[in-house]
Amino acid sequence: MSNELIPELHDCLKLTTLQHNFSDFDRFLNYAPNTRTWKGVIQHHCKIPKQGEEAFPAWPTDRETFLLHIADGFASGFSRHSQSYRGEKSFTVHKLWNPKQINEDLRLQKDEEIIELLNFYSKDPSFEDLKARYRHILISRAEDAHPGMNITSLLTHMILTGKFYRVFKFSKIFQLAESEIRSNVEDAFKLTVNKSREWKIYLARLKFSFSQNPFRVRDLNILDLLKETTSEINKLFPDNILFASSNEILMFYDDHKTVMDKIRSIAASNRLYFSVEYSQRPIEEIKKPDPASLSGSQTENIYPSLPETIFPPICEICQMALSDKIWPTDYHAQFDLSETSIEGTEHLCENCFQIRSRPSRLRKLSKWTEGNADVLWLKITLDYECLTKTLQNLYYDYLRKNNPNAKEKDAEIRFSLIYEFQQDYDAFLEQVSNDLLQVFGNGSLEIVMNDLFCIKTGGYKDIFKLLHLFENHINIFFPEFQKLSNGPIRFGIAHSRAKFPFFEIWRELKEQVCDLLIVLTEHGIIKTSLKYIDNLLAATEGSYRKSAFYKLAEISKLSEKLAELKFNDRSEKTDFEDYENLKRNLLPMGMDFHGIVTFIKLLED
Amino acid sequence: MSFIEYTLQADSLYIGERMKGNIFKPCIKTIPYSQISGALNTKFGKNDFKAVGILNTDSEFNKINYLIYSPRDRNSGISKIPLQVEYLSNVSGRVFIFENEASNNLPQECQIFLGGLKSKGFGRCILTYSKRITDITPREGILNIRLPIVEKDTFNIRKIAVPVYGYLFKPVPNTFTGNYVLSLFEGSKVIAPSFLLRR
Repeated sequence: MSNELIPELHDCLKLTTLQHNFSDFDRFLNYAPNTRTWKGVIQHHCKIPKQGEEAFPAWPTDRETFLLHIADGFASGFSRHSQSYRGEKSFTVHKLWNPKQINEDLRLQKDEEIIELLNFYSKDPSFEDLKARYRHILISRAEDAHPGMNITSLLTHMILTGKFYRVFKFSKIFQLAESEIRSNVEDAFKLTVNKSREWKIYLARLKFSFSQNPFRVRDLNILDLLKETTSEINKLFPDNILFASSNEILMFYDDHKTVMDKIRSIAASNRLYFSVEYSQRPIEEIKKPDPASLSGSQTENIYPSLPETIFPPICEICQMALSDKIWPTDYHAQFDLSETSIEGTEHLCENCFQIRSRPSRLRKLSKWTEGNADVLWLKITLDYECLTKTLQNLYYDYLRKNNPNAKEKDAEIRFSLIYEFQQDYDAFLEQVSNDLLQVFGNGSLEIVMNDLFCIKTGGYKDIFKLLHLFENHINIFFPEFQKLSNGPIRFGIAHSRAKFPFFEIWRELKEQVCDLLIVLTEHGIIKTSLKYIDNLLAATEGSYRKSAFYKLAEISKLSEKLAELKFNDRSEKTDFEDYENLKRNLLPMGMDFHGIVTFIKLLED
Repeated sequence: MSFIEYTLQADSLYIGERMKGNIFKPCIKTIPYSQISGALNTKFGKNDFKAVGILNTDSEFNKINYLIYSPRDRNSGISKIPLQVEYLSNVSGRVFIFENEASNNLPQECQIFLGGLKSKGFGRCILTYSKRITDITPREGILNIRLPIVEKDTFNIRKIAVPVYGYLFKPVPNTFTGNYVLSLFEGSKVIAPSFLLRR
């Protein structure tokens, strides 16, 4: 028998049409592998059968299989909650955000295919090997085929089981001696119940921020530090992370102090602060993917030490520390160079000085700034709280389709669903990035983060290219979100000169509350919803006389009130017809007059 | 504990952020404790006014505008590099003054000067009495103002759940200088009276 149990591989029979409880496995007994992973496949259930139910052939008999059983229950418990109705099983995944993505039932049916799978398991494959060979089944097969529960894939379930297993296995806090494990199923079941109550884990949501107000290209290095922070944490705690965006992490762990000390040290070395909301509960109580929903949740804010008073001068970038460096004098002094800059001097603290001193990888943006080109900033933001609420509503709708008597409380969102979503969201970001590269070309695109882009632009017309691109991708990946007036994925586009201080753009983008925001620096803002992206694009294709819009745009520069009077003035019939035409397209979106004028400026370009 | 609410109106207002984008001077989109308390102290010759302010978010008010001007060195008579200044026009906001000895006998309407570029005509504000606020029941929400941490009890801020820290300038009396004191900025998650929170 091999030495290692690969937890992810525990649900082997779900790749086939065989019963999960081995009741029709007898004819393949000769092909059963002799590995520890296979022992996990057989022994990861511990269920005392109810009357009339077929029993599982085995139960956990050692520490490894017992931990696998707990991990499997913890991972599946997130999506496998009881429902009081029966119906036809569905073995393919139903994506709540993308129901039109129909998966085929690709499970292995033929005896020879199943024998091939068993032979593959006999070679003691890794999880990577399994994914390489059977990924098509893993992503299409629902983890749970019961009606209304087929919302997560087997792949997601396997990944989560692996994560939980390793955290339990290497924990110094969760104790399980071999002597505690008895040989009968009843005692094994009792032990499961006891450990699920006894073992308490922490669920935490961390949000990273920075105090810097970046205004030069090199100040954007702080965004690299943000990226490095999340990636360092990911490397250090690969099994603990359940969800991650560019500045947020949802994770679980057993020892708060040890984990927080490490994260604090990473954040501090990257000049970031963070807030953490966490709760410690027994395994059996942790179900929702939000620590705030658990009893006893607490919030901590991990800032670097802040003095009560700072004597002038204060740092001009972060405004959080005494300035003891002068830019660029002190920077040049490091290289024994005399100052050659024609720009003014700035008082910076040590941290901001170090960030600015780092060479910037944004070389194209630097060139565009020197040439004073126009740029488009594009930020894609995922609102986690909105995401959980949206998924809950979509799940409720789905349950009701299967069973009109389903209750709202049945539609609980579990980690597996969030993890399932994360995989599609990451694929979506990658696709957006690739398509931006195709549409604008490498020379005009700077990828600042995986959800923040800077594009050299020739004019406002590129904003429409971006809108078309979003419309297309939202339709492919998350069509259900397009029906919402306030969805969890937010697009922020800002047009400005490359020289325009980034912190002004960042302030707008990071505080974005609507799901589609278009900022034309110095010219106005459009706030609307992705739901109306079609209408917005349709409105651009209307036939309007340019002169009518030119008049309105020019008047608005003097007085927006006067422009509004002109907009509603029927005395100039020809202009009024154009305005009415535009109103018909834009007013249903709830756009105010300021938004309409901004839109006119967009069209004027 | 009670507060007096005044409405604030101005044609144009520039309350500068300390950071500057080289030749760009941004402005704050709120009225910090330091600015409004200082303006009231100057107006009425006192030193113990405690007040904060917020700007209305209705789209017709507080429009962002830009002014380009070239400051001139009076000694040499030479103009410096032109600066682009961000300012607010058609300003409308509300000011909440803590009721204490300093706030006794405030007029129904008065004029104060707030922010920078006063010599260019910015910052002339009209304060008009609106109402007295006695309901200061705290609730959880997102803070909409900037005030020094030491003044949190004055404004009945009971708990700071998720702070956004920053520093506000505090002048040293009878000098032309001052210090920066640790403060709570807009965006903090707090338990505070409703009028201090975002709607």
